[in-house]
Amino acid sequence: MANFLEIQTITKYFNIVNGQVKALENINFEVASGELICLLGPSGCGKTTLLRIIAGLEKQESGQILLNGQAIDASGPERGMIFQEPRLFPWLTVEENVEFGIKGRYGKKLLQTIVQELLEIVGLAKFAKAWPSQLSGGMAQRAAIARALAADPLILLLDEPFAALDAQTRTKLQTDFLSLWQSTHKTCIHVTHDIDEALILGQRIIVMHSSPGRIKKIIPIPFPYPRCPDDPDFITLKKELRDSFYLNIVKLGL
Amino acid sequence: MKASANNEQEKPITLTGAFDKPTYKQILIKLFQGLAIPLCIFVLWEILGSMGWLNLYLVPPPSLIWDRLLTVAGNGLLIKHIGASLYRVVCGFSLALCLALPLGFLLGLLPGVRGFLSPTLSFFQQIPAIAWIPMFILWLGIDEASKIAIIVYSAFFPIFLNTLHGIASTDSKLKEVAYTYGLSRWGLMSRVYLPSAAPSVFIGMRLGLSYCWRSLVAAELLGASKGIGYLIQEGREMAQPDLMLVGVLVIGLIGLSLDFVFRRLEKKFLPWQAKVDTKEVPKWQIS
Repeated sequence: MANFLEIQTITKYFNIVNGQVKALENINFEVASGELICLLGPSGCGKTTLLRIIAGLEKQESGQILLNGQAIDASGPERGMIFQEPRLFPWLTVEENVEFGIKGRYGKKLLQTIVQELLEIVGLAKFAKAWPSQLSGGMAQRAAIARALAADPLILLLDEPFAALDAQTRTKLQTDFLSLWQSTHKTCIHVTHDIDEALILGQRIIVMHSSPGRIKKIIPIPFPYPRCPDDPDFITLKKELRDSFYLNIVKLGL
Repeated sequence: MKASANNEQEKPITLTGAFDKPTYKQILIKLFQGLAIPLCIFVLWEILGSMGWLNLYLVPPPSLIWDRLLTVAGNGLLIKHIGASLYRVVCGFSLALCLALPLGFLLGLLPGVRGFLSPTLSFFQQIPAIAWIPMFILWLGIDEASKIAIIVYSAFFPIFLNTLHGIASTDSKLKEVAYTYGLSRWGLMSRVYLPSAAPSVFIGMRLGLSYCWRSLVAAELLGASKGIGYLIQEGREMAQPDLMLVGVLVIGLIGLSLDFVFRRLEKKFLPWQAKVDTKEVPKWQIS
């Protein structure tokens, strides 16, 4: 199952006031089943747009996406999306939010078991009856992860899910997310602008460039999990990535 | 109310704790706060009256109004008039709901059609229902139909506009979440648009109810054989200011009660709303 997900020659334009801007140019890569990939790039490089195209929330101008050899062009429950904001429905309790995507698919009892299990996995079992407005940012994002997992998707698409959290909460959620991935072995595409995060999580890092958004390089990360950010090899790689980031920014004159 | 990972095991978290029903003491305090000003006014009014500083005909003191209230309540007149007014409100308001809710929902979903309809609707919105009363009487006769038409007209716009606004301002970020689960059009409407618009719809209904209650009394003042407006009119014709004031008080009290009922309904149907509104929403931290 080498070519579980194939991104082929994706190009995307955005309409602006006077004309068009190329957001993505000729994006090509493949994702193996069970792989955890990080899309890393500065803001404006089109990484979120690319993720949204994979999720079916945006349409590309050319190119195609193949999932198990089948072209996809709309969103579907086999791709679970986790946004930067939790985006919980404020009128539903935590458990009702989690069962949002699978309501009616299973009987009431089974549904309850699934939701309870998921809430336990993300550490929110005691907050099943809480309203989203009662949750802290980290807990709300946990609930959003449980909601995405409920539909049992083949792929999890994560759009900077931890970027809005404070440093401690982020580290905790990264660790929990890693163990979640290791136990479920879902294929994950994780968008981030945080070099550390990409290095802690990714089996491979796809580094992106801006104007127009394109892939600069794809780096396999050889370190075993859990990764230690103080490891010399880790730091070397981090420096390398950072330099290429800054070089890019200097070149753009930002 | 913070639960850290350490004490989670010893102390079970009670989620309802912070939102418990108000205690009797809290209810009493609230009741006292609400009644303090009216009570002061009544007492002062009564004292001024008994000291002979008020013209008892122009400003009958509370005791006289109370006597009159007991009289009309005792001989069944009051109930008859309240019943007539409430009957009109219930009919008119339900009709307004049947028209305004679907229309607001539809136009909220169709921004294209909105451009055609909004100028016309804004025009009608500016015309007070009372201005239509003579025309409605001309068209529909002096009986129930014209009065109910006035109510429908007054209640329609607040319900319609708030429904439209609620639907149109549904958070597109939440819509996207629904898209990713491949929800059908119907699912999107019933599970995202509708609950998202519900608070706005409730505001519209409360406004609509209070509007139609007001214009109903105006309609009854201009031509009716029963109803609270008619009661006031009767007070005027018989030169009984205490009867007129009974009518005024009853209008206010019933309006207040109707609004109270709607607020309770809102709390029941939108329990999450109270939690959003509360400034001091307790946050439980675990991560």
